[in-house]
Amino acid sequence: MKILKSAETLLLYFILFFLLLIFSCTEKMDVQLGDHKTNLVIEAEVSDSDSAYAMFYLSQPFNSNTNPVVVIPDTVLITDDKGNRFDLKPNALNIYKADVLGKEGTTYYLKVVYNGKEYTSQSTMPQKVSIDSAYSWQFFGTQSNERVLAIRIQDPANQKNFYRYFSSLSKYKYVFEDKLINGSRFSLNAGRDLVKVGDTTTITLLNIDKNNFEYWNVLIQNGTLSNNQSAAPADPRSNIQGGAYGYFSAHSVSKQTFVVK
Amino acid sequence: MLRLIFLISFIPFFVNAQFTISGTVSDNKTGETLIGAIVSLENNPKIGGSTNTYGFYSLSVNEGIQEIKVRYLGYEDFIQKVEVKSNTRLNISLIPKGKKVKEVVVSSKKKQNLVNSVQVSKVNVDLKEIEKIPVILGERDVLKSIQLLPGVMPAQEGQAGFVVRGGNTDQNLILLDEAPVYNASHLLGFFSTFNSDALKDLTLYKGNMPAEYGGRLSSVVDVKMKEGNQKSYNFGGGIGLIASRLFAEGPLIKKDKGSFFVSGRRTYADAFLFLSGDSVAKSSTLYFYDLNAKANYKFSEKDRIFVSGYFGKDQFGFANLFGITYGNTTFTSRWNHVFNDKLFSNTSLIYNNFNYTVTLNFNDFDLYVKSILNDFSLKQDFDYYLNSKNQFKFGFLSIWHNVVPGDVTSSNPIVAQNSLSRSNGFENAIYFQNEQTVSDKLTINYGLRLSSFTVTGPNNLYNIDPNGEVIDTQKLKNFEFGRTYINPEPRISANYKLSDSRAFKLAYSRNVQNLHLLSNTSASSPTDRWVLTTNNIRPEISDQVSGGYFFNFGDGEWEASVETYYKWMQNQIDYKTGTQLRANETVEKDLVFGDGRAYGIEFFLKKRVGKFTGWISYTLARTERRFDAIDNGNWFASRYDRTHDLSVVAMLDISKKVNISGNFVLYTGNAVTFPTGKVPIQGNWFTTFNGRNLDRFPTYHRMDLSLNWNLKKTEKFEHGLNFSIYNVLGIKNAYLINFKSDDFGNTYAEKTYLFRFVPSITYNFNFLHTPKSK
Repeated sequence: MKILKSAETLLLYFILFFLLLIFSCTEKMDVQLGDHKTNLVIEAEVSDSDSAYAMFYLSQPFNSNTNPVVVIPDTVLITDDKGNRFDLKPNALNIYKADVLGKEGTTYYLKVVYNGKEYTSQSTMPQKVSIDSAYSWQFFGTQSNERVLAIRIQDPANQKNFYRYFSSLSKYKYVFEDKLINGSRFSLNAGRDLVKVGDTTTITLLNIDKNNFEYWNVLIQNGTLSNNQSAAPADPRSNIQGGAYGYFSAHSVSKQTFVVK
Repeated sequence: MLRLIFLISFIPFFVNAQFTISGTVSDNKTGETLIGAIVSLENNPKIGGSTNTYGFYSLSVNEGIQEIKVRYLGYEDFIQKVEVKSNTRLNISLIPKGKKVKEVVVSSKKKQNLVNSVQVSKVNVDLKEIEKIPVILGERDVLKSIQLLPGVMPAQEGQAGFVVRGGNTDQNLILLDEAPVYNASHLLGFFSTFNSDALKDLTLYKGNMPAEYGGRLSSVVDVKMKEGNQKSYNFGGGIGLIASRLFAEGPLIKKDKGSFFVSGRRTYADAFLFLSGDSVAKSSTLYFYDLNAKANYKFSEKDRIFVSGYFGKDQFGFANLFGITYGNTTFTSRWNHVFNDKLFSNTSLIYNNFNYTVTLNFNDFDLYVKSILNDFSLKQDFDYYLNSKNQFKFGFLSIWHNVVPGDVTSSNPIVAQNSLSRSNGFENAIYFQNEQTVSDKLTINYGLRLSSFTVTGPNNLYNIDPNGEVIDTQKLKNFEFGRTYINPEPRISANYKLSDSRAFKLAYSRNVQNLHLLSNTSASSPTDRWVLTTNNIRPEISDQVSGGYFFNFGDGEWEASVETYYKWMQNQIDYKTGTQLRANETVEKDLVFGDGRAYGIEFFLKKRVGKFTGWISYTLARTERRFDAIDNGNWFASRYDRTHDLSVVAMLDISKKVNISGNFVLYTGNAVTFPTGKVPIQGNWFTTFNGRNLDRFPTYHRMDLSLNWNLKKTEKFEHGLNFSIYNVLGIKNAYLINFKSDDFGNTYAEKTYLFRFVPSITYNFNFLHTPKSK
């Protein structure tokens, strides 16, 4: 159960926090890292509320300090299981777009050709679950004008649901599966960043498929900052065939915008 | 006729009627029995043996006048002439080595422990010696001190958790008066559960244990609690920077018949939180305590009863909002019975419990989770002193394991449904072993342990397909038996003495383990999850071969050894990427199983006696794992693969009142997986990796210093001060390494380090009250 797991993690960090508070210091260090083989990174989404898009980058050695390198593939194509075909065209920022809105239950296929190599993927858009309500609350020990964001969801009992959600005020993403609370009404916290009273935020909830849930679950655990105290990390399993990093996701979107109180 | 009488009168001389001398060896001042004291004949040292766990010995000797000699580290040698006409009972009390007698020191030098014992990879730790070794925050800690021995390494800086010869932290059987202690640490592993005041003896077996032990792959740490002073009342304690201790001991009911010992320790780490000035810290609770108690009574020359227990708890809390509590409880009751001069029996009933609870209570959400691991054991051991050449042991052990991985209570009915299924297991073992003196030079200890594990209800057995999905679940009812695993575990160990001061030893043993710890971190966490063997999780098996050369020199002042080992491990456990270990009902489907191998060479040089004592230990080793699902089934370094591990310990008596000591450790950093690349996804950098454990933490090194000052020592009262500084060189050893990015998107590595120049001061005192003898 996610709530339980987070609670325990919280407690352990709490204990560790005090030990560190008393004794620890941090400093930058040089670490010898293994060689990195540069590879294509694909980020591609089909949604029920916005145009489909795809972005292409190159991965970089961890120690390099350059901005993301955008690359231009030869072919970017999305098809669906009903025989429709959508060619994605680049805009000025080299973001590839096509005017297609995804439909529940439809499977979408991605095909990319870059440097003569073909990459393919598929994703099925799940049943839509909307945000019931979005709200903020004060966590104990935080400043009086600081809040944690949360959403409430009524999970449908008829199927397995996988969620990805995030706030417009934070860089952190969260995923959740209904395995242990199937069919119930529950709350999810977006708790890693505190927001200020008076801020306006949009919380987005995506209904994603199982492969994308597993991909994001590992990606998030590895973290934007990677902590080698814990389990040995490894690359998440991408749903892209052909050996690229990244993901292709067909998902439905539910959004709520509100002022933090 | 005359010839006949002549012949008959000589028969006793030819037949040499054999009788038995048996009894116990104890301390003359306190009446504590002494474990492992060497009892032999002065004129024929080949006839001899050592006292067992309860101080009992038995020698087969010829009729006539015999000179019995007893030797024990830290005590005056004992010699007594006994006229043996029948089986003789002889209880011996040894005088602790005082300042007065100097000549005895010379004779004790010749005690050549390492060379004489049959077991290879066995270390008997001198607890008095350990008292002098510097420790963090002044808390003496046996589990940290043994990490200074070859082949034993800390899991991580400052941790009571340790690894032996390339094993894992859960592969050590830690016994306190025969009761297994599952989480032998406090405060996330920074302190061990063993309060040194309460301890009498510690023996460590690095994998090649005799057949009487079993249940873990890597090692046995056999800790015995003090029995208590049988002759006088004694009260003492210590006041330290982070904890205070108290103990009391004395005769029970009748002097020399029984005794008791109680001790307690409590930390006040929360005091630091108040100093921190942080409002969050101030509303927090953070402490642990330990209680040890033991009592024994001799009902007759042949019967003695022991009752002992340990109770310890860690408490963390944060206002009324959340709390975590965890601890161990052990209870052992034992009955020693001497059937006759040759047959000694001990029957133990043991209960041990490890539990932790989590309480949450905030924002209309409440949760109470309880996890328990219970064992109920019955253990029967017999020591049969067959003759002067064979010492036989046999017995059995039955353990009922009961695991409650997480019972959830909540006012929210959906949350409350998330209790994890309980599981049970029934573990049994029978064993025999014989220590046989084959010739003057060769002694062999051989034996067989036959162990079994039965998956027992209530239990949910999952059938899992190759994709890791649960196909169906078989539910075992209460006490319903499922699959049984039976494993023979042969053990053999041989000592070939090249001379009085040199010996060559060789050993092989197979060990089996049916309790497995699922842990994601190297820091010991109470929420680490223990699981039993099931239809999917097979018993872990190890085979270890080790050999060594042991020698003494400088008239026994120095001892040295070189040991080497190779260990194969089967059915090792790891996890699929992204596995949640806690709160995962079907965690089995996320586990992967594979092999391990570990090998190394250990060097040890020790100066045992004199004003200056100490040792150097160095290990060169490798330990690897292989799983089909990880890195395409290639061997990769285990997290605890430490190529080099060096420990230096030095102790110097400056005067009768003051001694100083220091230690230095240096070892290769843990094998870890660092990122090698990064990918931009949704505007953030995420890290990418090459393979498992291809990188290393930086080499770790540290030096600590300590000074003991005995302020006063009389018959009635003694007290003293201990000063120590941990990490006196102020090395910034990496405890964590995080990979971060700054505001400009530049990525860098940042280390967190702990404990530099940590000073401490502890005051120890001891009152001794001897009742006037009537």
